[in-house]
Amino acid sequence: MMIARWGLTRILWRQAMPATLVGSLGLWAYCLAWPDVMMARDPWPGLIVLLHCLLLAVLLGRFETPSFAFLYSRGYSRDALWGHVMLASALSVLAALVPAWLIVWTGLRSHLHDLLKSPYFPIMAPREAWVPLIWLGLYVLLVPACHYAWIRRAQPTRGSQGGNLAVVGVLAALLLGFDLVRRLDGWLAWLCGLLYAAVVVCLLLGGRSLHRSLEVRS
Amino acid sequence: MSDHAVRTVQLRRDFGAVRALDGLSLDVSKGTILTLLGPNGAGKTTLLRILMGLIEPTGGQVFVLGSPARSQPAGGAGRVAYVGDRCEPPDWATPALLEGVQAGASRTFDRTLFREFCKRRGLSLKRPYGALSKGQRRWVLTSLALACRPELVLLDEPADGLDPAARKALYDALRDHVNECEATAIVTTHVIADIERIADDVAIMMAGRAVLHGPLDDLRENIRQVEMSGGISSPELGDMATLLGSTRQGDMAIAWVKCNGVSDGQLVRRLGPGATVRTVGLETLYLAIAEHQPAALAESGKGLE
Amino acid sequence: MYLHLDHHSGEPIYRQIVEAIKYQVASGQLAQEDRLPSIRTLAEELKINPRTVVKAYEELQHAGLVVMRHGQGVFVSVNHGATPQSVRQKAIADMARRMLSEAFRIGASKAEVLRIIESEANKMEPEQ
Repeated sequence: MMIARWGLTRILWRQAMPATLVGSLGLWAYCLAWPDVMMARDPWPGLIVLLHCLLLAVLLGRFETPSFAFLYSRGYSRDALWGHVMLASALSVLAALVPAWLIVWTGLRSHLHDLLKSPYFPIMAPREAWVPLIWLGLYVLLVPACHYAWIRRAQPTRGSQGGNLAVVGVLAALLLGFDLVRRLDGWLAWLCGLLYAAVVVCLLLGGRSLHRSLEVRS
Repeated sequence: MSDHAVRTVQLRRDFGAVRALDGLSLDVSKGTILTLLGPNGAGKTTLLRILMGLIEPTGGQVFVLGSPARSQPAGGAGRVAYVGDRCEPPDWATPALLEGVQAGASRTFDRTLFREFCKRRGLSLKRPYGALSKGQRRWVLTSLALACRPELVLLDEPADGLDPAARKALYDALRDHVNECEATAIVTTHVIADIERIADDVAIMMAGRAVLHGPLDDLRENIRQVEMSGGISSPELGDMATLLGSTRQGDMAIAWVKCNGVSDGQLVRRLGPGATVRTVGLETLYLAIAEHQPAALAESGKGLE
Repeated sequence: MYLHLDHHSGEPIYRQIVEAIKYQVASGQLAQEDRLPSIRTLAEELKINPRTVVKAYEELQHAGLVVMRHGQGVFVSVNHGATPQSVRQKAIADMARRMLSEAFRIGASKAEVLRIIESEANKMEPEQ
């Protein structure tokens, strides 16, 4: 297994800072300010998460800049670099998500809106408690997807188009069908969960594989 | 092959329609410093990037420290170190942070040595990279590389922007490392005086190929400038020498030849009265090849060994 | 041991080392049985490749000036036959050869060259 290297992680974390800020400020603002009851199908958090993930992929995938040439020429293996990119992304996601979740879970949101004379709070507060979990589920799917897509874009000659279409297809189905999936019970729910996990793992492994042969040119 | 730190066989690399490396075949022995000389676009930087695993060849084979080079750095973990062109850390990074980054990659990284290098030029570990002068930046990057005690050091114009004292310090540090660890270095530079000081072997690259390659002392011993009225041709020289390039100034023909172990006296006797034979410096030799290379040499694609 | 190397002269480095040591031996700066620096030490001092030092030492051994004793080092040999006079005469002969080939190339005759040398030498003598 890869040993996490602090120096490398720190540089990548800082490269990803704009993405972290977008995701953090977006989600925290949403948590604090959204006046209605938060629901899984609200588009705003979804958009913020998507934007955060896209930015992560772009900022951690600028393979034509001198600083990336530097990082990639230190002697780390490609897989180690990929692992650290995923680690930096995970830290970025946690930095955005954990405070947002705390805002909800500690009752800060509820209390704030109660003070603002909102009719929904504190009554509806328990209903919202699991919504950040949905965001986590979105992140876990979109971070690998955006990284994969971004790396794939940089290497149009590699891999087959068919595989990409399949991934995009399943992804779209998962996201769009989420509402439907939520209401499933029993083995169907488990099957969807399995499919979700399989897609995430494929995206991670596929991304890692493409990353191995990525060209670093500046 | 185990004697060679680097070996390329008909190495090719295209960037779209541009052919950066065109069948380059080069062997670099362990424990030597090879300097690459050539115009911009000759493929020197491309070669170093392939050796470091940053890009892949389009064709041919390349072996680094005995194993084929792939996208993974050879052997991983700091056996190959690189100081490149347009390959720099972010401006906010401090040498202390860079030390950490490098140490994480190389098991053999020597922190004490790196700090000693920095102290030698009076560089603080806490001052951000962006606040350093060009020469200081080069020094930090080279120190990072040498402190790994790598088996192969790849330096792309490492002394660019350094004053003579700093240049000397850098090349002395490189030479010490190569001698102590029997390491190998490939250095790209445009500065002839630096090559004359540091090189064991010289390779002149033109248009993606090695046009001339050999020990510098051999070139000093065997390369001659010949002047005579009339003309000088390959058949005249026979197997005594190889014609590298020629030009005319008025009715005087000037040619540069590589002798095959014959003495100046023998060469003069072969060419006849009125011929003058001189030794030439590396700069003259390079200019001769760059400007007056005979077409036959260029087309054959085979470098001179 | 101090050796002056000129990296920019066009003379192979190993040959410069050979000539310098030959001179030191001939002039007595290096006595018989003196130990020369080890290959590593000399390479480190001069900042050159150890193989160049090896080449120089081998040539010196071939010329009979030094002896490489396994495990002990490199020593100036006894009865090497080089004297200050012979080294000096060889150096003068080299200089003369170069000057003469240049002079003949510009059309001078032997008598003319000798006459000029004599006259220049006479001019310089009062300073000696």
